[in-house]
Amino acid sequence: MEPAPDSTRDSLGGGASELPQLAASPSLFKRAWRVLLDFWIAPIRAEPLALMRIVTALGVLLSALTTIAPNLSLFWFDEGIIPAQVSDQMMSYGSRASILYGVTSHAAIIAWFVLWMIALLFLLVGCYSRIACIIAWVLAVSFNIRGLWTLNGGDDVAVHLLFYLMLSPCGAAWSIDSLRRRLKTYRDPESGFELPQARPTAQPTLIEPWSVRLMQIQLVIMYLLNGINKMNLAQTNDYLTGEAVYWALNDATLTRFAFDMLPAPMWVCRLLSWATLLFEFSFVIFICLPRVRPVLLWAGVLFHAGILATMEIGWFGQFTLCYYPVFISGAAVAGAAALLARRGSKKKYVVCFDTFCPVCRRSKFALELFDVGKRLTYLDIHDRPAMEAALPGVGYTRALREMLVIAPSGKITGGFDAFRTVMRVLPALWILLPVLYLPGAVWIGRRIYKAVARNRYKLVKCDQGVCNLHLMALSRENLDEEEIARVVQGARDAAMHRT
Amino acid sequence: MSDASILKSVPRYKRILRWLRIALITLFILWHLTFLFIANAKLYTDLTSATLGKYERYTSLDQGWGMFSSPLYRVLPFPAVRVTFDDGSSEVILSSNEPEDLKYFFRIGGARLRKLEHSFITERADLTGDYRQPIQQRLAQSYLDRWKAAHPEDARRAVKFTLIRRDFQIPRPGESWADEPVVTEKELASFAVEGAP
Repeated sequence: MEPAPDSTRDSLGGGASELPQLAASPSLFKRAWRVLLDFWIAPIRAEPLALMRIVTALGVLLSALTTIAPNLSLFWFDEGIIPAQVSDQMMSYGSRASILYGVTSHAAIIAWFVLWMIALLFLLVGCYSRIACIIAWVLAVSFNIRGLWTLNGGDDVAVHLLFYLMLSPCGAAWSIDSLRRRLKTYRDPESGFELPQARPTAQPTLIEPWSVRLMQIQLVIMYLLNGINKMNLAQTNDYLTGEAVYWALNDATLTRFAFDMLPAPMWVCRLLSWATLLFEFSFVIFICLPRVRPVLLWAGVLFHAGILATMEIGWFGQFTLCYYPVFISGAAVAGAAALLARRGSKKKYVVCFDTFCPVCRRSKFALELFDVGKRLTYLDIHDRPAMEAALPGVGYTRALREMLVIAPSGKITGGFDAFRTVMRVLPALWILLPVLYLPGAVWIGRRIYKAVARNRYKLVKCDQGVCNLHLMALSRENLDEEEIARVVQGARDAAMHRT
Repeated sequence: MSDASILKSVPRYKRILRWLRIALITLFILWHLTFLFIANAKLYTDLTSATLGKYERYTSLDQGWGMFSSPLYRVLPFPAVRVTFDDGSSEVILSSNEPEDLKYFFRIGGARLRKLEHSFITERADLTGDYRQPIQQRLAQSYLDRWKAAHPEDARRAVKFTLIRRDFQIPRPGESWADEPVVTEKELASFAVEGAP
């Protein structure tokens, strides 16, 4: 979807200031209709959904690895506590479906589990997000149904999250899919030369909001129903009397530790019982108010963290929190991501790159896409005075041969090591970082880097004098300064002329 | 170029496809919202059960939220299995989820086993002739396997399982857990050990 100029719309449909046309609407009905339409169709920023995709995929992955993988033989294998035949019969009686229907082979169950984990990894990094999400959802349902008697509320919420993500364009931002899309938009300058300044920040990606709205409605319903069920007035109500938290903390079938180890005074139990009710109903009523929303979301985080600390009830709270990003505005999520990416530091790393090299220009474009915190600045290696000032004593020949990175501390790294430095600076690439630190990675990496760097002008069409200069640099240790200045100036002039 | 002229420049089939997509999405949203309302308000009828109910079950979008609903448990039910051996002696094997000391324990994990055990001591426990009976059988067998691993020297042969529920009364507010809390045991079901004579 094409980004609109006003792309900071709130994820719940925007406040009055963002909907100036409403004020001019003549009737209440028209206004209400407009708000309703806006809620369902006005484009919203993709970052909150992307964050939800990441936390959901990570959550389901961790949950499956910690609670299903160690229990495969106990609950999911045919010889375990739940025989395949019983599970299959339950599916027939209960109109349930599972890929594991009739599967008794251990190898097959393990293979499906591994495929599920791979799909979740793809979903996590946003690679073929939609397909990965469909596979992850189908397998989540299948493993849930096969182990039906072992399910906690968290397993249900996980399936719901994957279902809604499957409907949504969850790979629109912060994903390999979006990176691929943006790289396709890259156009190498016709002049064959690019000034080293960073490109202007791309407009945020906008998405259709309807799937996000369904997610928001689902969470509101969850809290509403939980609240209503707590208000059961048929018998003595533990929440109104304020005893609910006391009884819950004493339920030794599911508490994390004995009540006597940390006995909460009754007044604390009462406050927490009433706060629970207050939170669940407030969430339903006030979540649409942008000013109150952050308070409610933080209260929810504390609420679920408290339950996690005191109760062993699976992943219900953690998965419920996975819905929260879609209640945060896109601008806030993007701002927080930039802040985290900077990690409190405003110090910049300088990347010295060959402005005449098409491969290098494309790499710089890719780096800019990952550089959410704007930690990188760029320097043209052909700008000799600037290079002399930034890298005294480093020869032009070396700069031509490999990418150089200057850390804020002044440390200079080149080639493959510079590549690793840049990866460390950009959190979006951390997922690949362990690969670069595997034993032997330096030996292999340096050789691959050198091969690519040496041939970078052969990989693409280049008909400028700079290409010859590069080839000469590879064949000779030192080049004549006048020759360099002449070639670079000629190439720059030609590029400027073309521009 | 005006909006109208831009629209005219879009091929007709593309416009039809776009409207078809919008119509399908709208229908799906209406369907899903109806489902959320019916499922959560528990308003299933024969018709809605055959349509929306199937949608709920096949997609595993189970609704009906009610975590820690009132009234909360006053009694803690833990399962246990009494194993009768071929010499007539018996052993009661407790659930691994039951703390040795209710006044001092710490727990990480085990939520899946707890859930499974819970569903077989709170639902109708005597599952004779029920398709779920093998689960009860194997659950009891898993207790015995755990016990045998701890007592490898014991040569007795198990012949019968008796599923038991052990209930502990939670002390009222202001009271505290007794050093040895009173436990009430109730036999839920008995069945022969698989392969026993």
